[in-house]
Amino acid sequence: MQALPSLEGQPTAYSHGARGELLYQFSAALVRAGIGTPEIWADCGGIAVNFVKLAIMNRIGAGNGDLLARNIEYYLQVSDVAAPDELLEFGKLAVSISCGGCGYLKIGLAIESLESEAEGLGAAFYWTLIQSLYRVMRIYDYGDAEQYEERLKEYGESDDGESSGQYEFPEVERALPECIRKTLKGHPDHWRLNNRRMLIRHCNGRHKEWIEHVLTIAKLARTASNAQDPSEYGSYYDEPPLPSLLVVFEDHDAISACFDEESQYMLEGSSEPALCAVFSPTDQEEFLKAMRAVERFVRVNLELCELIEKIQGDKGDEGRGRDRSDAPLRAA
Amino acid sequence: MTGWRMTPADLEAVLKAQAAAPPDKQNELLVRPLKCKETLVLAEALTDAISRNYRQDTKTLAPPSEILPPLQ
Repeated sequence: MQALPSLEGQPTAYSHGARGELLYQFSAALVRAGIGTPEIWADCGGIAVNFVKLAIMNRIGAGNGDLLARNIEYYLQVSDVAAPDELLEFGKLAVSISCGGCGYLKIGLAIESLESEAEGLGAAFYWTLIQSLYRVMRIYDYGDAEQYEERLKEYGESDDGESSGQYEFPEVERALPECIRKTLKGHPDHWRLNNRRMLIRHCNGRHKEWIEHVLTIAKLARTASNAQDPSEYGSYYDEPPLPSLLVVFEDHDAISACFDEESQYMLEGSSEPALCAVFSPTDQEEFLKAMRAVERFVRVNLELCELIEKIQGDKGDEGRGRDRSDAPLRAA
Repeated sequence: MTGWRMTPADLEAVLKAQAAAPPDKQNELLVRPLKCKETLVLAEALTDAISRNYRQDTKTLAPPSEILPPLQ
């Protein structure tokens, strides 16, 4: 007599987390750095994933987390992949921050108010902020809108079909306040330094709080980033990072119009994260460097969010109240 | 033991022990082939062949028309 082998008593499901040891090594690194504590471990019931999440959130702070969430949609991720489907070298982890909905800064009235305090102060404020932010993250501002307009003009000139002559150009330069327009070309020597010096001279004036935030952002932006050079992982993605901030002078100005047009295509491919730092959780020096990169990024964004809310509050501007729900990449 | 409080050093030791702990028996069955170089090479060759075959042969089978008995 023959009998079929019985499956009774055999396990019917398996689950396996590959490279699970990295999670515990990362947790241990957080404890060594004082970010993870026995109290957090107890609160999480000894579940490592929850421990890591809570330790990082505690480090950022609940109030700061809310401030960020109100203004910009960021996602922080720690994983063993450098990019989708691209496994990192064994024993390495990557901490990355991606933007899903950018912040919105309407700066026209603020510049006007600063110029009324001292001639050139508004321009110094604007350029110091923009140039500092460029060193930390991708933003969408006048420069991007101008490039879009140039591309549009090139299409228009090369198009000799039926739609030739039917293009509408956004006229970006006209959106700029006069004080910014006249600083576009021919910067004198030490221009950036002079801008910062002008801000320092007025940091006890009427716009003390705004200027303090911009000077702090400028200071943080000048420190070494410790993040991975995007050239090391950029080839895995279709697009550069999504902009973390849209800077316009007025609601519905030409810059805003260019952003709305361009943002329709921004989500079509995969985008680089706004920040990426690779480290080995067993190498405390590497780990701390990566954490410093994240800390710098978060601190710059916190200063930026505070500045956005102060400008909106001082100028009695609702800011986020304007309806951008139909825009594919929503400005938060 | 009353009044014992876990210190950061204790917690680090716990986490290091968990990082070094071998997978349990059930997971070991899955881990073994994942660590075997020949198995990984074979799996990759197989998935490559499947996707190549899938791309080349896009013909769909004709639906069976007369196999099912007619409805009463």
